[in-house]
Amino acid sequence: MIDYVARRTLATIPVLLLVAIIVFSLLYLAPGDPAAVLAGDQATAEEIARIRATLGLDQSFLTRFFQWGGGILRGDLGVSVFSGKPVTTLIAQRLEPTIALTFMSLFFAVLIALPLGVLAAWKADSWLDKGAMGFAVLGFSVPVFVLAYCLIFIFSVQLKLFPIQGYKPIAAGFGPFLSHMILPSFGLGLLNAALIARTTRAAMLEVLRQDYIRTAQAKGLSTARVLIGHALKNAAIPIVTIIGISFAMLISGVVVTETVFNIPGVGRLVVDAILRRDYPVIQGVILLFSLTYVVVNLLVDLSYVLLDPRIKL
Amino acid sequence: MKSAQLALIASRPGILFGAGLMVAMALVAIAAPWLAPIDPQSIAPFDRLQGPGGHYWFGTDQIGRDVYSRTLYGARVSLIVGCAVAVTSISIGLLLGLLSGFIPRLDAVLMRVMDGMMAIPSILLAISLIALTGPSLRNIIIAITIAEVPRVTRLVRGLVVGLRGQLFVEAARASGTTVPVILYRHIIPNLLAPLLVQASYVFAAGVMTEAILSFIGAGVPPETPSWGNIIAEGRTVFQLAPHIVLFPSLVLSIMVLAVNALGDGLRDAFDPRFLEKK
Repeated sequence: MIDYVARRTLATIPVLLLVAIIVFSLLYLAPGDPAAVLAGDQATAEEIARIRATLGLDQSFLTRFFQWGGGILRGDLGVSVFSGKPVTTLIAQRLEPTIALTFMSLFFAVLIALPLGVLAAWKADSWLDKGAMGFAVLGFSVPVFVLAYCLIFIFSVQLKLFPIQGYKPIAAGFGPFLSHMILPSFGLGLLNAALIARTTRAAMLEVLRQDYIRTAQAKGLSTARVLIGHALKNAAIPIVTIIGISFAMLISGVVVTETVFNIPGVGRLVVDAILRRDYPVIQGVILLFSLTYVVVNLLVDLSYVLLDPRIKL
Repeated sequence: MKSAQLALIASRPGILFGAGLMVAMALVAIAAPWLAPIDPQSIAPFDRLQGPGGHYWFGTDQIGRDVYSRTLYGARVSLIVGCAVAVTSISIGLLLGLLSGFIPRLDAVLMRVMDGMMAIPSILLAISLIALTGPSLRNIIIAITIAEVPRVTRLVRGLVVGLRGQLFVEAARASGTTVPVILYRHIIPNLLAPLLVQASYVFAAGVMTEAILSFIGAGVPPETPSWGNIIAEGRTVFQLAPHIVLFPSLVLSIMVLAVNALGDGLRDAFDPRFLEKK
């Protein structure tokens, strides 16, 4: 088991290295002069030269890559072209709302998806199943900002239950924090629930066909125990896998949701950075999000050992 | 195509709904100049933020432009991006997937690069490309294509590796058929159905990503009416005039829904398991 954990963990290193190389090479692969594009239309020659120097574009590719890569290993992501502050500082300042939004969305997604998928599989081909899967198709198709505006319109503008936008840190009190976070995380969670619910249903259908489910029913166990104790437990691996894969979607959703609700998180930071053409910030945020994605999927892989004791490869 | 498959396609409402709506949307996009009652760029300062109804079917925005006309023109951007991304991603993915499936030495390198690219959330990969090349329709198509190619490549490579081991391919090899002929006669025909399904999903992803990029300000230039742009502009006046956000959002969602339904329908129609059941 230790062997499996070590092997999976080590396997993420080349992926992370490649992500770093890709993110870094984009600057060099882009056609034209990226310094000129980043400086904008009204930039003077000095400004372009300054950006070129900040990004290290005046040095050779390899020199620059090792400098940059060495910096990352020391936790230095470079300096923002716009504000002159270190990128790590900028990201750290905005981490709290993003972490809160991600976890709460994931919470809502699982809370909605698991019961929906389990019930849909249990009552396969019933109206409940069709309704749940109809919802899943909708979830794939409605862009996250569209759902967000619908929620704002109903719950904030009409019913006045929640603030329309903005963010209150946890330090300012749990009540205000929660009232600002419920709509954004519910919206994002609802859309993510679609994919998870669909996979849960498929995995449950597969398991419910097995002999040991019939045995469990024959033993006279309650439906709830059969469904949750026997079936869901054995369907856990595909479900956990899809939660990991859908994490990329969740990250993209976080960027958009923070924009809609004006939440000062890392997603908002990257959107502002696009408008200001602040490439070091964009680079830093992409690296952070990709790292998170890779780590989440590593955890998913490692969780297999706990979910299925047969995996001791 | 077998008649059983044709019958199944006809029996799947998703395919008819999806294909029908796509054709209708394409006609709207082409005919936008004749269908739009008002020039999408024309400004009417006295008619700012009008609600839907009367002269302005979908109301007006904060500088008095007709939201209905702009939404009609927005279909053009979405369809161009969707089609272009689907065609280029599938073509490049097919090429890379075939190369990867047939040249083992290239396979190892190419698949690791694809792994790396897939670890970067696609919206963020597109964002960084746009930031470096500047927002324009062409750059958006390129950026979304680059983000979509790894998935198609993986799909093709997986299918090719599976097909290569099949008896009919081995028999063709043994009888001295050259690789190009094997590709043309045995491999590619077997890839068409899954690629067609994948193309519709890539199309949907292209439309969705373009809208998201435009919405966050990394999309087509603001003066071009695209659904994402109209929604982004309506954002600031959402409480006063929710209709600006509502109508393009509705059209966008229906469009993506239709393409996804088409993809799901095709997937079921091509799946031999469904044929057996019927």
